[in-house]
Amino acid sequence: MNCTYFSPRMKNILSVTIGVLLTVSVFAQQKYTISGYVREKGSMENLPGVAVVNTKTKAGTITNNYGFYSLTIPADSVDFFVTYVGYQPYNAKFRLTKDTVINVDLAVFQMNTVTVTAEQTEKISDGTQMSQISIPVEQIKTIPALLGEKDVLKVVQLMPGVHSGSEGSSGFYVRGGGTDQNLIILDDATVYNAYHLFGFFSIFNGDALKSVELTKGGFPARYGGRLSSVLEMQMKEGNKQEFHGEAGIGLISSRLTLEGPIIKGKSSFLVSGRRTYIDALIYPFLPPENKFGYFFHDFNAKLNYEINPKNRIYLSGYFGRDKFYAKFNADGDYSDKASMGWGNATSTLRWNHQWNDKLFSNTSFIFTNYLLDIGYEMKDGTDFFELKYSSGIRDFAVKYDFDFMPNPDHYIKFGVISTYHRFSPSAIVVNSSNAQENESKQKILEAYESGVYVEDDWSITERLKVNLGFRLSHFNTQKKNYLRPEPRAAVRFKLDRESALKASFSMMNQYLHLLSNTGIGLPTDLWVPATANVKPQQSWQVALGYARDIPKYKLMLSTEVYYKHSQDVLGYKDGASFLLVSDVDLNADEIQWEQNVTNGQAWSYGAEFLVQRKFGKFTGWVGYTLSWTELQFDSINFGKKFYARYDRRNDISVVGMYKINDHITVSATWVFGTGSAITLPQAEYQIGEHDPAAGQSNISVNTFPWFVNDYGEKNSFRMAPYHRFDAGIQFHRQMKHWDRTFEVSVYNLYNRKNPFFYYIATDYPSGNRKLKQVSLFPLIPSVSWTVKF
Amino acid sequence: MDRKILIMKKLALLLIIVPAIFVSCEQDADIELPKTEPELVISCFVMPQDSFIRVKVTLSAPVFGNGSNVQSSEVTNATVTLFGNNTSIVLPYNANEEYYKINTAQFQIQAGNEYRLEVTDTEGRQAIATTQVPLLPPIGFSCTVEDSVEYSDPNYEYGRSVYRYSVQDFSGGLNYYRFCGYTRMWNSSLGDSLRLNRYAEIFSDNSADGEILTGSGESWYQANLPNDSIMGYEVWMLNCNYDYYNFHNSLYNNNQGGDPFSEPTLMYTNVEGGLGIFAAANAVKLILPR
Repeated sequence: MNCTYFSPRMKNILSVTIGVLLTVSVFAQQKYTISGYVREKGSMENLPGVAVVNTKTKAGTITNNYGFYSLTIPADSVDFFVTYVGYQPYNAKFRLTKDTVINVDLAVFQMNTVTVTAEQTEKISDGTQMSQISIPVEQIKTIPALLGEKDVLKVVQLMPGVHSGSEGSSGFYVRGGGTDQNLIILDDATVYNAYHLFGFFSIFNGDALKSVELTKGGFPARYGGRLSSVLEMQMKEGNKQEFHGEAGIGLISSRLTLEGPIIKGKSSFLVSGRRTYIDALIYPFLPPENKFGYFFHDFNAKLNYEINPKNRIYLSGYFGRDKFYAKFNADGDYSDKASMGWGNATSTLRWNHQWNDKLFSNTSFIFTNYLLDIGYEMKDGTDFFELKYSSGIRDFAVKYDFDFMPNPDHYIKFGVISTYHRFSPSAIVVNSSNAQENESKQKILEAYESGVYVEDDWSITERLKVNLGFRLSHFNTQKKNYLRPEPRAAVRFKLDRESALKASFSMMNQYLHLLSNTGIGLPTDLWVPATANVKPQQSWQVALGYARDIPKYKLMLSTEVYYKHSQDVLGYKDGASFLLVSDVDLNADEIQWEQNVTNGQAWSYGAEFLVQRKFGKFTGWVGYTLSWTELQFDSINFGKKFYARYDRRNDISVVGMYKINDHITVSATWVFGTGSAITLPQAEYQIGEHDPAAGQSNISVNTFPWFVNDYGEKNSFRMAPYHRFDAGIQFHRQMKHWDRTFEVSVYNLYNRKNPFFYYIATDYPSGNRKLKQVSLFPLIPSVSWTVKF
Repeated sequence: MDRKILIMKKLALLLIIVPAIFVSCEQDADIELPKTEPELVISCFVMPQDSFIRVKVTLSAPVFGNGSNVQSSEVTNATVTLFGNNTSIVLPYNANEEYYKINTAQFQIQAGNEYRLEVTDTEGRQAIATTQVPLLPPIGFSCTVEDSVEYSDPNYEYGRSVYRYSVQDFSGGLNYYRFCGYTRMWNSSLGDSLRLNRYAEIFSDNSADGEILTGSGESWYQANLPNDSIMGYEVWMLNCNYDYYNFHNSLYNNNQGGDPFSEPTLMYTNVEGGLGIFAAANAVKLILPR
């Protein structure tokens, strides 16, 4: 009998069909990785933070700091989209059948080309990262500035949650934290004193920078070492194809930037320098017996080399110096001169290594040096007196970071950093004609600071994304070890296509302290480590936010509330000051500054609002911050809570830039801030000490009363509010071989006399006492000229 | 050492002036000023060892006002009441001494008790302060004085006295002490001995709890011979309360205001509705021969 259900022919067809189906189904679940680098077309600069998305499935990722991305998705047809603010999007449709390398060169976005599409705009509601602002470097060049000096840190201060200390100074306070609680990184190197000219300008030359990013809360685990913020700046690498440059002349300083290829397509360089010349200009006008002057210069350099597509090295460095000097020559033999100088030097050697299409690593070797020196010399006939003071900090660090992208749902980062710190708090040499040379050195302190971290940006569902991280930090100094865990967590929940709720928690530790009397950012500030007696600072912060994109008007809205509690913050004891020069015969074990400081707590809380427009003819933002910052030290203000000097109840920034046409751009800024909290004498009275013997004697008391002041509570007086309006207009012209920009700007257009400090003066002849104020910058116009070639 | 500080101050001033050179403007401050009304200032210290209680009442002079200076600001007609020991007493004004004064036969200050001082003046101001007397006098107080004559002639003598003292700290808790040393001088016109040239120092047991605390200090004495003569020394060790310590500490720190970079030192006050101090101590006294 013959069974003929499946004829041999049918069997063949069946087996082939099953075979094909099986293969297809296996094929369909097979995943492949698309990876590569995203660069700027032309210059070949790596672009960080670029969105790479398969719009078919919405699976996506972003490029890392070096432009590398990796996307592991199922084999299928792919609609590959690469988008980044300010650049034209890249789109490719293809079928993914194997691991593919796609390097993308994005062209800079020109105003008169394609219209902006929905996918193209960067969505604030997408990322888990909250409390983070990236400051567009090109905008820094457009915003009007004091004396025409474009300044990165000044623009940072225009963001909500960030404000400056006093007039014109670059020191900044983030969410109620002090100026030393900001981690300022330039190409992986920590910068200790970021200011020129006694705090009025920062050391960062915008021409050399590629990206500037400020994180105020919800700190990812890869950052550590400071309590309040991370300001990360990356230098440009240098155009790999063509030679370009930029030069500028301003009222205060001039600058020149040159970049270009060393080996076309593989290696390039960038150098940028700045110098002031106001001292050279006024020198001839000063009287011969009394000369004084001030100058600063800074220099940025970067080299990079692509050894092969998987290995690149970068070498970058910064060197800057400020010097102030004054000379006095009387008739006859007397002459004296004083000088004060300070400077930073940083240097980083980095090696990018791509292990495979999912794992990328970077190794950095970092050097940082900061030095302050003060000198005074006096000659009077045969008598002479000489004083030299210096203080500084030197770091050597190694950093090893990994980016691992196993699939679009997880972006894992992990790594380790270790830093050797060398502090020389103060060294004084005194030499005079009538005494021996005397040298007094405060003990040099060494410390090791390390951290190991792991973090994962995990897309749990399409709506819910979390960034969970853990950092373990360690500090070793004088045989004392501190080991502290730092959990970090951030959550983003998408409510709809355009809006999201965000929340974050972070715990931070800070092992280095800045002792600063004035809070202005003067170079007299002293960096010291946590020691056996002075504990590290610690804080925890929670933040809650809501972000919304309004694509119709190209607007981004974000609002956040935060609460931060810090412990073991340092302050100078009442009456103590850095100028209490150490005794020449100081015991070698004693650390003088430890006696002058005390520790306490800080609470900061507030709400921030930001409305921002990043594209179009009209761009800019409005930011408003409402905040409180309170401190409590057992040894200050008799242990009672008081407002920090820099407590700023209301802070408003309005920034606008309007491109009238290709040739003219106008810009304006308006800022408002509640005044600083200071301690002002309110009344005078007489009071004397206790005379114990008088209690037993019928003869009158033998005590001499002293005149003392009543100041009220510490920092109970508010200075007048600060507000100011700046405006500028830029004229661009494209010539054959270069572009030139001529700018006229005005600082403080309505000439408000914002008080810099107050003092008490007596009016004659009435004898009445009055409060007088000194203001710093009235209406100041300036011009500058920039050429790009 | 002083020279170094002076030079640093010079540099400090340069640091402030240079930025100010940058176009600075001076004008009257455009802001509402803080309090401009005078306030009552009380000063009173009590000890169980006292025979007399004295209270000084003056008025403060607001810094911003009409030619105000801190002179002749005595308040002579206030009502000064001391509460404690389950009773109260009003202190009358003594015009000779310019103090409100009573004899402790009328009102005894007792160790461990709390007292409240209320001062009301004729213009409706009222100031109140309370303080608690430390329970125990210091223990283990000993002191030596070293005398050295610097200059001597039949009419005049002056010299140095160096005190060296020690006291046993109470263990547990924060304790505050004050040492006072006087020269005892016979004044023939008064027919009595005076305590003069007071040397005083205030300290706490901050990092040496329960240990023997030591200190030293020096003072100068002078005598117009032959009528006056130095009889010896009288040294006191006070166990002070928190108010007493904070007040004296802030008073002594107040003197160092020359540095433009240092924060102003606040004066401690425990007076509500006014300024000044009402504090207490418990003391032991030693009489030392010359």
